[in-house]
Amino acid sequence: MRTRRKGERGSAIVETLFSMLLLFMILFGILQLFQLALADMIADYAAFRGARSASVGFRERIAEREALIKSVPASGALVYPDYSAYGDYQFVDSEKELLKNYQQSRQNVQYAYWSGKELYHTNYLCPYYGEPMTGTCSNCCHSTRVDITMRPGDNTVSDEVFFEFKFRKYPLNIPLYDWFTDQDSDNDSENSHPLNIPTHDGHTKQTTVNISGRSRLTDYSSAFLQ
Amino acid sequence: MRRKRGEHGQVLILAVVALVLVILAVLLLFDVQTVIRGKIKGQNAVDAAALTGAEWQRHSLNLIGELNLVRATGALISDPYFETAVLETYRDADKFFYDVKPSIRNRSDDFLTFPEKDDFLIRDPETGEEIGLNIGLLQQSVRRVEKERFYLDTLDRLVSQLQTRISFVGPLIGFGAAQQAAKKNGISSDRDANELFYMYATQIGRGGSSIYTTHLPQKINDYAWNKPYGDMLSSILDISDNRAHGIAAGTRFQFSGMPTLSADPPSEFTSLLGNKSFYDSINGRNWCNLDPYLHLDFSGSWWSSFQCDYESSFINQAEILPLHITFSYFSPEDSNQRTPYDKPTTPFYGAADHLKSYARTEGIISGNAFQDTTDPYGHGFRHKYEEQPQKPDGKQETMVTVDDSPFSPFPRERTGEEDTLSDLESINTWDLSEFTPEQLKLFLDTFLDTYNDEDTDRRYTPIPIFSWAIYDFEWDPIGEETKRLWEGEYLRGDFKEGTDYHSGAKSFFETQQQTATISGNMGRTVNQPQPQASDYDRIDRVFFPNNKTETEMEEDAKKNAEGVSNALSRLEFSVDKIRTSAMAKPIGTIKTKKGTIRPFDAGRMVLPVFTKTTLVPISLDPPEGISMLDIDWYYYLTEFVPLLSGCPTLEDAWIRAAAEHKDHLHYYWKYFKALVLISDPGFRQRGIDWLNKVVVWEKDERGNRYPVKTNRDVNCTGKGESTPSILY
Repeated sequence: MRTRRKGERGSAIVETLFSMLLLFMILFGILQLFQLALADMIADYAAFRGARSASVGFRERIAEREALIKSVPASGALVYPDYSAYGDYQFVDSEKELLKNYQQSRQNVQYAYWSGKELYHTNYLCPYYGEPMTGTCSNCCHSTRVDITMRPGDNTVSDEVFFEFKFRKYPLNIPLYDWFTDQDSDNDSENSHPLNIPTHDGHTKQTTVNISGRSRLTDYSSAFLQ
Repeated sequence: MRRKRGEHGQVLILAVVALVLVILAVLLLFDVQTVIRGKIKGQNAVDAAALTGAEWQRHSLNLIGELNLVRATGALISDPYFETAVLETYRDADKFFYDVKPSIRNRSDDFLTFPEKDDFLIRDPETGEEIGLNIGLLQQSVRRVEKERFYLDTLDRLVSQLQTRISFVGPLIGFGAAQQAAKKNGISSDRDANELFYMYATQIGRGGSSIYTTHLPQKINDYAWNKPYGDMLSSILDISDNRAHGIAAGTRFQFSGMPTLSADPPSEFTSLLGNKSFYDSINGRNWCNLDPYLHLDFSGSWWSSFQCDYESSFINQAEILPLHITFSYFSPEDSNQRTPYDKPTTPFYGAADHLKSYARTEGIISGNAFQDTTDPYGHGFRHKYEEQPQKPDGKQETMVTVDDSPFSPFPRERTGEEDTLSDLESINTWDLSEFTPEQLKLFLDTFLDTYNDEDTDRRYTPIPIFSWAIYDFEWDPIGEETKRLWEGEYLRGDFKEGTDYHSGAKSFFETQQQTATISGNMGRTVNQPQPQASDYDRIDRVFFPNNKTETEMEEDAKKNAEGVSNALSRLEFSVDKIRTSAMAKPIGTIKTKKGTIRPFDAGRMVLPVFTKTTLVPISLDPPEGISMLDIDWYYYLTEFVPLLSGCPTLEDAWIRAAAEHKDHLHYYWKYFKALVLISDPGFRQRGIDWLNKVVVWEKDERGNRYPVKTNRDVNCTGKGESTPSILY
């Protein structure tokens, strides 16, 4: 058996540490990409639901609400109302009821990533941080937000509605990514889609990505709406 | 380099951990994709089903409308004065009669007309005085006219029968086609919907003692609907291998025998127990929804006055995707359902009159072609209608016969019984000799005098009352308030002219799919445990005493507490199926010659005016009845509620239900659980505490906090703009 020379002690630990670091960087990077893929699917679905709502004649704010509800699985944490206040809270049923209430405007519900839209009285958006979000929110909220576009489709043969659901600055924490990039966070224009990855969002260093889903459906409402 | 002993497998462990994480992530992605794909697929399928159903409703309504026109044409071309009226109205009428419709011109001119009055009178050739009546000519004329009227009446009945057939068959074809549309779009047969549909189908057309064979009319407009309707239902069910496979997309429908909840005496809980969303609110701890009810007294057997009733009325047409048409003579005495075509004071010509009036109003026929009519029979008979005694229930008799006239022009009251040729025979053998000369003279004076009136509409035209197919009360213009709300708040445009109506023919469909996901459910509900068969057994062991004493039952319950708790947890958290729904309806308007757009029902008569089918928001025209997918609710109402009313405790009801319907326990478990919860004062108190909990405080000048808003103020009042309950 070979004896270890002086100076070689601990080299295996160092090697292992480096290899583990690399391995976990890759692993968690992959998991982040999975999360991104999941959000992408949800965004597609939200766009579909929004378009479906618009196709029967609902105006933008209602189609938007429908899309938001369907985007909940990728919308971050519920920030309002406080779930702990529900006492014997039961996760699934309560949230279903909560969303029903939100849908029917009986209750204000807010998820972290919806905040940029300043929906429905924004002073309820960041209760945990003790300050309402008005205009620019420096510390209290995620900079992620939802943007929605709804317009008539460009099909010249039949009436269509076009609906786009976009998560702007969706968190994508690829380890050490910002070591290698230096992009302007405000560069999230249409042209940068789908994988613009700004490193600085102006306030916190966070890798983000824009995710969007688009859907185009027949506009059935043209049969009964002017 | 040789590896030291004990260093083997280090990388393997890391690799395995990494691999497991990656695999789990991939599986999650697969699951999410499966669920989302299922949801989109389900929505597309249910859209296709709804549009298909509505398309067949549209075809059916248009066919019925066409047959109304056939009937109207029959009436108009048989009217001996129609030609005169048209000639007076249209400058180019000559072309119509002599070029386009020579057959009309060549018809018998005396169809449904009597000779001139003078032709019946025998006069002294020298003095010209009346010396008698030509009874032979009179008898011949009466027989001929009555026979012709009988032919026309038969035409009317045949048309009605055809329309009735369509009202049964058309919607069912639509329902069957909708199943194909759903299946073609990837939705498979649904067990719940098939089960409920099977129960419905077995009550019809199979004999036995169901409400359909014992209480409902077996013939409607001479159409024996029961067996063919049942046969069609069976065909749609597509039973093979002792299982029904036909139904993939269920609809919501109201049917004879449909269970409904009622309370005797009525109680404040009446509206609750029959409301499915009440149970959902309890199980979901939706304290905001429950707020009005948390202070009610749920102590004692508060449920005991409830009973399950069954709907006994029948709409005389297919109950699945019904067209909601009716016939103008079905309920003429009911003022709420009376139509322009049921005019009790002028029954004889009412239909023709109002058809003409309608045609003029709607601009279909312009000018003064048809004057408003008054009483064409002379004043001698009119008072007899007005003096008719009222029925005991206060309703006026409508179809009456003038007893003292042997030549009553009024049609016999329709009984719904079959016509036979004996009617025709009775006309042929009608012998005027049994009447006195005075009676015959009365006939001539009262009818044939008006015959000579220059106003053609005042003349005697013995056209029978037609039973027009008309829209029933389900077809209804959207109220002004609703219209304002929808146009102002919900929709992105105003309604097109003539399209702002609630449709009687609505095609609502729902589908549900069991998601075969690896992790159980998507997103936030990942890995929720699935209910197992043993869960029900565990619950049974607690609620099933098996002749045990209360102490033994209590001990049993304690022993099983954990298992029961887990079982209940699994049942409550069981993964929902993916449910999708959509609604479509036929759209139609009437365009007049002047270009004016009028609603499809401007005259309430069904006309072939439906040009499109379209998806509509469900909340705009919400369907009623029981969903075919809600088999659990159906069983709860029909099996559990009847047991409930006779039991002193909820547990007793559960025990009885377990004894009598053990296989169905899982259907009404969640409703039973909700009843147990809402009966518990502790549960209600938790809701009250939550609602009253102060969540917003402010400080006064001294820095002391004081309460400002509770959860009720903050969480139960939406701050956003209003929305309908379903957003698609």
